[in-house]
Amino acid sequence: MGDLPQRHEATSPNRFVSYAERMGTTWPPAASFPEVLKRAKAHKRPEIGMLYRRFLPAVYRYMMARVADVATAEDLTSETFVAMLRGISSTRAEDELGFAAWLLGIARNQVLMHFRRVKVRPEVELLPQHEDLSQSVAEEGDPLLVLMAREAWTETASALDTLSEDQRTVILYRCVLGYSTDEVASMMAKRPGNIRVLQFRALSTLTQLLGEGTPQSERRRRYGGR
Amino acid sequence: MEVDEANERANRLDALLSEHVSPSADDEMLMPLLRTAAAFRQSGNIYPRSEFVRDLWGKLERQDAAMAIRRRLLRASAIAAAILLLVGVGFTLTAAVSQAGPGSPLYGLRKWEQGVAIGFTFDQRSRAQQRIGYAQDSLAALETVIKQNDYTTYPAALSSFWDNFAAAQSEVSKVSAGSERDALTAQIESLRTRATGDLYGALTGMRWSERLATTKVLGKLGNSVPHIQRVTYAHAADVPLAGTLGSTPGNSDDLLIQIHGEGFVAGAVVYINGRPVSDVRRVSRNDIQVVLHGVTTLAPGTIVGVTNPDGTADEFRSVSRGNASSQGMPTATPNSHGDHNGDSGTGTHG
Repeated sequence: MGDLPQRHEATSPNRFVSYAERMGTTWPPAASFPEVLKRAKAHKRPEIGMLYRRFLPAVYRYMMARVADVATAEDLTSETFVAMLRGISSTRAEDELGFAAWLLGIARNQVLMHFRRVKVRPEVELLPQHEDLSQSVAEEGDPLLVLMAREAWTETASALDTLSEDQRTVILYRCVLGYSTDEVASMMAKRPGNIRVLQFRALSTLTQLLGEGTPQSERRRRYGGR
Repeated sequence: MEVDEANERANRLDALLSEHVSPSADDEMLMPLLRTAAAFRQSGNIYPRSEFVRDLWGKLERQDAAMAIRRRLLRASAIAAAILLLVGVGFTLTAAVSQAGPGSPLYGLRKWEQGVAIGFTFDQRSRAQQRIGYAQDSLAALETVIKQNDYTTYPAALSSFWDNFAAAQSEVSKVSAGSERDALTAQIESLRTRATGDLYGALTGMRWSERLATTKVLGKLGNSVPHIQRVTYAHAADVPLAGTLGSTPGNSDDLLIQIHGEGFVAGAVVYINGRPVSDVRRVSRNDIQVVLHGVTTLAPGTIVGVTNPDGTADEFRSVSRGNASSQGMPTATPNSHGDHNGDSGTGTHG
């Protein structure tokens, strides 16, 4: 078994930090990303491990944001990395953003295939039954807080389904994965101004859906009767 | 205006989210949006289970190992296929090369292959035998070309035969005297006889250019063939040919043409620019005299050809006017062998 990714201490959710900071990793330790990617494309195990360590949390969070079910998110994350392994030698990405866009594109396709398989719109379990969910959130300890955190997250995740594809992608990339506006613009091949507008509209819609002070049951009714 | 305001709000929100600026009282209406964004940012606290992380990495390692095996197998298969292809192409090419006759694009390769084979044969007798084999092959190819009346390929086939025959002769001459060399020489002689018969037999139906080339090879093979060395002409009036020119002595409208060389035989036909000359006055082994009537000069570049009755031929292109007084234009006085001793002109051949 190679060098495994470790869990890291969560940073304050109120601070918008860089991805590397949030991961608590110093990237890259010795080589530039293009160099690591080049060697990973040649199926060098250590470099594939580096990419795995670096992008696993992002892909997992993306999946959690889309399916909000730990078991499903793990399955889809697993499928995404297997697909990454199979296709890495043929990716045209040469830098970190290009690779992230490529990998998240795979993740997005996995989610679409998942929804196609279950033949329903993405359903979000308000109370996931997974035994190990407690390990999926950083706030371990107080069972009540954990439960509240789970429920709040599943609500916010399901609200994403009401957004357009572009708006959802902007929120996922900006707020969930922590990329900057310019980076998101580059990944989505749009201008930064467009990203800001999409972000503003998406947050406005989500704020209305998740309206502060609105009873949870009422909020559920608003966006899909859940 | 509304669009500008919307853009301004979007930019301000982005600045606040990026923590480029701190919220102020004017940002009151953006605060709910910031809180919504913060709710999503809480996902930064979500991490995959450590068991899942380990299991997935293990799965990826196994997958990568299986893919590596598949890649190696694929690479090995590709190499094997490439080798098979090369071997197949090699065999096909070798077969094609060994069958390639003169004129074929592969013939050069065949010559090269023969050269390499000879280069790796270090025993002189074997080298000579190998060369004789190549000469036999090229004679067989020449015979096929003759049989098919393929005169497009004929010059190349003829040239190839001669090259191989000459090379074989040369190699045989290097073999130490003795029974081995005698046996090889007998093979060479047999080849020479066969080739001579083939070429004489083929002369009849040949065009002029092939006939000339064949004559040269027949000559190299040791046969007596016509060979023009010099051609001169003079006005019959300038030459005291009373005894030779018969009924037209001293006629200034006649040209006496004298052809010097070797291998001419009785019955030889002389051609001037492709037309036979009817008035042949004398033919000896080294000399032919003809008279052209009603002609006062020959243009530069006039072609004089001679064909012996057996079909062998030669031609000459540097005909020159002789000077009877200063250069001793032919006196047409036969010598004791019946040959003509006169000499004149400057045109020489070979």
